[in-house]
Amino acid sequence: MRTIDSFLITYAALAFTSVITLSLTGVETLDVYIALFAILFFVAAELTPLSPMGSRKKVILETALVAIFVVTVAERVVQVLR
Amino acid sequence: MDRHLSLGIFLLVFGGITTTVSLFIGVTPTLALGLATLLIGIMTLYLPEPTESLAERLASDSSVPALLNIENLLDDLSLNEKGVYIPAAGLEVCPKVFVPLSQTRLSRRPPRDLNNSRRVFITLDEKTREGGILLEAPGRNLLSELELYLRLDFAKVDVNDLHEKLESGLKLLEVSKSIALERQTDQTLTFQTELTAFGNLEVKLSNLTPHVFDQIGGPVSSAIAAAVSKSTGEYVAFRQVSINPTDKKITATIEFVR
Repeated sequence: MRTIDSFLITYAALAFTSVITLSLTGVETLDVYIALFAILFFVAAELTPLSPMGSRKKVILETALVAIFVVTVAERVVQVLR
Repeated sequence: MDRHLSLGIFLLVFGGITTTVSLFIGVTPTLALGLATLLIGIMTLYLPEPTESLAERLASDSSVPALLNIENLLDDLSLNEKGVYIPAAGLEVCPKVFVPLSQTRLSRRPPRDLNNSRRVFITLDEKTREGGILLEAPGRNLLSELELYLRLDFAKVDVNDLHEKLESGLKLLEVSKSIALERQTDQTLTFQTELTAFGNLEVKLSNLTPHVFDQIGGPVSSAIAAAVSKSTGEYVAFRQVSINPTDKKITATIEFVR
């Protein structure tokens, strides 16, 4: 199996497991899910490293997900501080 | 259709519908599920590389040192003449390439039986010390694979059928998407092919081994030149060969040496 396929399967398993777990624990805020999706990308990338050929695209996706994570967390911090 | 493409589109559509419906009914877990599916769909479409796998790239890259040695040999011996493909016949038999020290009548068309020689340094004329080096064509194994898959000897292929045979063979081996072959004059033939495999290797060779690439050709261009030589039964040499690093398109002009 190609590394990209292993990565996608790992990420999908982690993402869907987290959605089921969070929904069972009664989490109703979307930003928690989104922040977790961003974190899980890095977890999946560590578990099944992408080939060097896919690394450039991976960096772009990582940057986008970090930005989403920062915005989500910052929004929540602002809400708490108000 | 590529399986990543079809799966990615399915996930995008499924994720999009789930997200939209969840937004209307206001259920957060299904909305998250839709977003996760959407994200995985984007990754499925975006991340896979259409080019060769890492293992394939490593396998093809392992031929670079051998061609670097030939590059150094050409450089060291100041061999600047174009390599001449000596016509050969027989299934899985590839024409050898003779790179002469200087262009003379004899060295332009070296004896055909050199294809059976295992020597590298060849003296064509003892008196004048006329000679050169005899090399295996970089596209030797690719040509053999083409012949094996097509179950034909290119020496028995009619020149008019050469384009069709080469195109079907190169597509079958997933080496290139298409090939355009055109006999421009009686003396020259041009071809253009967009590579799917070997693209990175050919670009690398054009940078690392410019003499080899220009005088003898890379694996794909060499295999095509060898096929042309076999089919026409003529001595051929590259007049010009280049590769576009962006679209991995090889453009070459082959000259019939007479």
